[in-house]
Amino acid sequence: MSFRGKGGLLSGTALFTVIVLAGALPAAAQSNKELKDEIQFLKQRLEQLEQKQEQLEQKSSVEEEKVVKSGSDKVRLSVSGQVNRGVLYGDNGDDAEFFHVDNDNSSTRLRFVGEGELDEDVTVGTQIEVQFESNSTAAISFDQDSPAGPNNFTERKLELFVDSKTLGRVWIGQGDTASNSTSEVDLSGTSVIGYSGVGDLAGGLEFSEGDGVLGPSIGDVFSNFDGLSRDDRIRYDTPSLYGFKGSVSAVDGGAWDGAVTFGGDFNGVKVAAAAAYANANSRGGFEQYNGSVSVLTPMGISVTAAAGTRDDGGSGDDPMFYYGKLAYTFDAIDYGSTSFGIDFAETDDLDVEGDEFRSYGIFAVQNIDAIGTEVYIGARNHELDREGANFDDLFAILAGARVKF
Amino acid sequence: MSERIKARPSTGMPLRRRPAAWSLLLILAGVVAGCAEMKPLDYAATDEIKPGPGLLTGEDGEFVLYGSSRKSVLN
Repeated sequence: MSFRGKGGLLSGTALFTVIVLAGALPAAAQSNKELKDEIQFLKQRLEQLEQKQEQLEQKSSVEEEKVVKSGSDKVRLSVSGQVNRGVLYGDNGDDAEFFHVDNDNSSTRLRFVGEGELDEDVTVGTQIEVQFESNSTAAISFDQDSPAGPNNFTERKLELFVDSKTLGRVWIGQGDTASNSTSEVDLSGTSVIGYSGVGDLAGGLEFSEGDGVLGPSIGDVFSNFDGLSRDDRIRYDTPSLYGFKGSVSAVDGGAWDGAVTFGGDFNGVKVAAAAAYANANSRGGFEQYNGSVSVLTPMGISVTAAAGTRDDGGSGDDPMFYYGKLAYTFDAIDYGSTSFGIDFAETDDLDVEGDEFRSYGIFAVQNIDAIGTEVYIGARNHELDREGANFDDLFAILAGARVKF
Repeated sequence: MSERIKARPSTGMPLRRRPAAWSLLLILAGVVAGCAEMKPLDYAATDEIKPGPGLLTGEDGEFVLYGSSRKSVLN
C-alpha cells in the first residue's frame, strides 16, 4: 500500500508538474520568440550601423586626400576666375568679318588670393591675377589671317599687401594704380558688354575710307583717360570714411597719381563716384584729370557719366573725353536680373589734332545667378571725323557670355 | 583824386527773405540728413571678377582651399 501510497504521491507530483508546465511553457515559448526577434532586429541594426560607419570612413579618407592643408589656422587661400567669350561681327564699310573673341571688357582670367592674419587688426596678403586672351577684342584686326595673341598668360596683378582695419592698406607690386578705374564707375548692370571703355568692345578694328586701306583703329583714336591703369607701383588706400576713400600711388618710372572714391546707399539710391589726377610727365609726358559717377535708383533706372582730359604739353587743344549712359535693370525672369542700356561717348584730339571720335551703343544683359553667368549682346556704331579724310562708320555687334567659375 | 570804393550796402534783409540762402541751407540739410541715413556701398570695378556665385564654386564664388571660416579683407 505504501507503494500505492508512493505511487499516488508520484502521480500527484507528476500531475502537478504537468499542470504547471502546461501553464508555463507557452509563456516561455513566447518569451523566447520575442528574444529571438529582438536579437534578430539588433543584428540587422548593427549591420546597418557598420555599413554606415564604413561609408563615412571611406568618404572621410577621400575628403582628406582632397583638402589642401596649412600649418596655420590664421590663413586663407582662395582661387577664382572667369571665362568671357563671344562672337563679334565688325563692318567698316570696306571689310566685314566675324571674329571669335575674348571680351576685353572683362577678360578671361584666373586669380589666387592668399591672406594671413598677423593680429586682430593687421592682415598680410598676396594676390596673383593673370589673364589669357585669345583673339582679344582689343587686339583683333581686319587684316589678320589667324587669331590675335598672345597665346599665353599675361599679367594683371602680382602684388602683396598689408591691410590694417584702422590705418588702411599698402600695396606693393604690379596692380591697380590709385587712379585706375576712376573713369569707369558704372552701376548699370551692363558693363560686361558696354561701359566708358568704348574701345574694349572692338578696339582693334580699323576705320577705312573704302579704298581697301586700313586707317586708324578704334583704340588709336579713343581713350577714356582712365588714370594710369595697372603698373608696378607702391600704393596706399585710406580706410573708408562715410563711404569716401583716398588713394595715392607712386609708379615705376616716376609717375604718380591720387584718387578719391565714394560709394553710398541713400535709402535704396545707390551712388558711386570717383575722381583722379595723374602725373606722368616723367615718362608719358602728360598730366591727366578724370572722373565718373553712377546713380542707380530703387526703380532700376541708372544714369552714368564720365569725363577726362589730358594735358600733353602740346600747343593744340588738349584731348577730351565725355561719356553718358542711361540704363534700366529689372527682374523679368526668375533666373536673375535683366538690364538694358544705351550710351554715348566722344573723344576729341587724341591721335591727330582735330579728330572727333563718337560712339553710340545699345546693350542687353541677362544674369543667370545660379550658375554665375551673364549672357549679353551689344552693338556699337563708331564715327571718326578727321580733316582731309572721309572714314566710313565702323559698326560692331558682340554677343557672348561671361561665366564665373 | 582817388575814388573811394564804396562798400555794397547791406540789404538788411533777414535770412527768411533770402531765397538763395534758404535754398543753400535746405540743400545742406538734405546732404547732412542723407549722409546720416547713408550706408557705405561696396562697389566693384567694372572689369573685375563679378562678386556673387559661380558655376562651380556655388554661393561662395571662389574655391576656398583653406581658411573658409575667415572672410577675405579684399571683399
